[in-house]
Amino acid sequence: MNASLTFEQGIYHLSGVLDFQSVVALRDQDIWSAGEPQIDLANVSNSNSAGIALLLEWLKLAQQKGVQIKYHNLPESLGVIARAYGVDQELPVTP
Amino acid sequence: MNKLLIQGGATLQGEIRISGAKNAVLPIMAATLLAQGPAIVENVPHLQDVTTTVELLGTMGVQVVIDETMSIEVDNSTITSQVAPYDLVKTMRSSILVLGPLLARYGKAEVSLPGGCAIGSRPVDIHIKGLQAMGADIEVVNGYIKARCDRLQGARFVMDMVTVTGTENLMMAASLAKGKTILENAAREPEVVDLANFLNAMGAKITGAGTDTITIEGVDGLQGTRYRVVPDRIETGTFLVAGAITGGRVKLKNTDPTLLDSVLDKLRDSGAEIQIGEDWISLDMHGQRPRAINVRTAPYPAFPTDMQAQFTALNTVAQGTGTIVETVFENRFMHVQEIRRMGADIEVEGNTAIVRGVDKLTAAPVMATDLRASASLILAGLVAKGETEVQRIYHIDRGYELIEEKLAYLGAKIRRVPG
Repeated sequence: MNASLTFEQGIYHLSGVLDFQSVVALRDQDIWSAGEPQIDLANVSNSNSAGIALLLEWLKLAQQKGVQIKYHNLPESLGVIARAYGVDQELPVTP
Repeated sequence: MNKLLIQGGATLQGEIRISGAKNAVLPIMAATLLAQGPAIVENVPHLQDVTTTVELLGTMGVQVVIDETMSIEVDNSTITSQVAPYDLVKTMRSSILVLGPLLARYGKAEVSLPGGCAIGSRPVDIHIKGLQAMGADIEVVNGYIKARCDRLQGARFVMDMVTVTGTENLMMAASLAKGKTILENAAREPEVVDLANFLNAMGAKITGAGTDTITIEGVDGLQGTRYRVVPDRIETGTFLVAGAITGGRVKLKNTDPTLLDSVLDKLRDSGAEIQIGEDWISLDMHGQRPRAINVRTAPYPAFPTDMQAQFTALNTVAQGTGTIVETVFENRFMHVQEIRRMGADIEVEGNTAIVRGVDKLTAAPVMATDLRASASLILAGLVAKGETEVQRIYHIDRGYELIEEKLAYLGAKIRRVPG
């Protein structure tokens, strides 16, 4: 897998490449046991729309579970794709 | 439902980049189904029909990802279904383009028949007959074209009318057929040539694309590749008319002047000074009102039907009277009634519109009826006195990437508002 998810000081840190191969495994990881997950994307080195799909999938799961999820440090490459497809306003991104 | 508000009167000036051609990228995305291995398509315009095609491939289980440059990577190794369902086909007639690739690569395909169309009939009979000539077993049941074959066999096939999507579908299918296929009376459009170039980049053996006889030597397999689609000649032409109708001066980059000979000739006739480079075109009207011109649409390389409505708009404010003859599609003067509401003097007799230029158009609420009609209403709005409101602009989003941003960049007073 070319992406990883680690948990430090109450925040999940996502790093590596988000592509079709890596996001399927990431989606299945348990990010819910810590309550309301916060995910730092600062170390995502590369991504395509599969990364957006992962963030939207986690958002959908959070809504189903009735918890809030927050994303931090959205990379510009993901921001461009999110804006192009009109989903940037749906993603709960904070600086 | 969004609408566009255009305050007329601005003279367009400046430079913009032209997007990749919608009519090239859609068949190329369908052709990725033929590849063994991922294919990457660059210069993809961000348009609703592209999104629909991504969705169509996705429903088949194909992996499609998009990067920040809007390049699309398609990997069909995970395909689970060879069905194009009605819900998607009804929103985009070009979905029929997956029929040939699915059949040739997987030996089966089910594609919903497209529904009615606002701009006349576009029969799919030629697609079906051509594939049957290559040995496919095809029946139409429950609104679906259901096709099966072992391996398609090369054949000589004469199309009884020139059809772009028919030529493209059969060319894709023949790429993996056993033996030689010769397509006679083929469409010559640049988008057909671009598809042939893409298929050849994947390992196909196609010659004659761009002429009315295309020869395809079938191969056993095609490999994924990276390919940049051709610039959009219709978007290019539309922005050139926008410059001309406003008496302006525009330069369009990332385009291909060799694809627009007939359109450039007509713009010169209207009084425009045209200059071209390898990948750019500039137009300068020197502040003058255009002269009326006569246009007759016909298959490429003649004047394109997809530019007819824009030139109708140009003639509405030109000096003199121009005639527009539409020979490609039936019922393609639906924009005329709307432009008349802005004060245009247009008379339609059969497939001919006689346009008498008037000094001024006046703003009015108008309704878009199809993609190119929408463009003509926007062009008319650019020169109308007052604020024109163009409704039902979802049509325009199917074919023009960021149209209001590009026009605004050239100085137009245009904005999109909800409602």
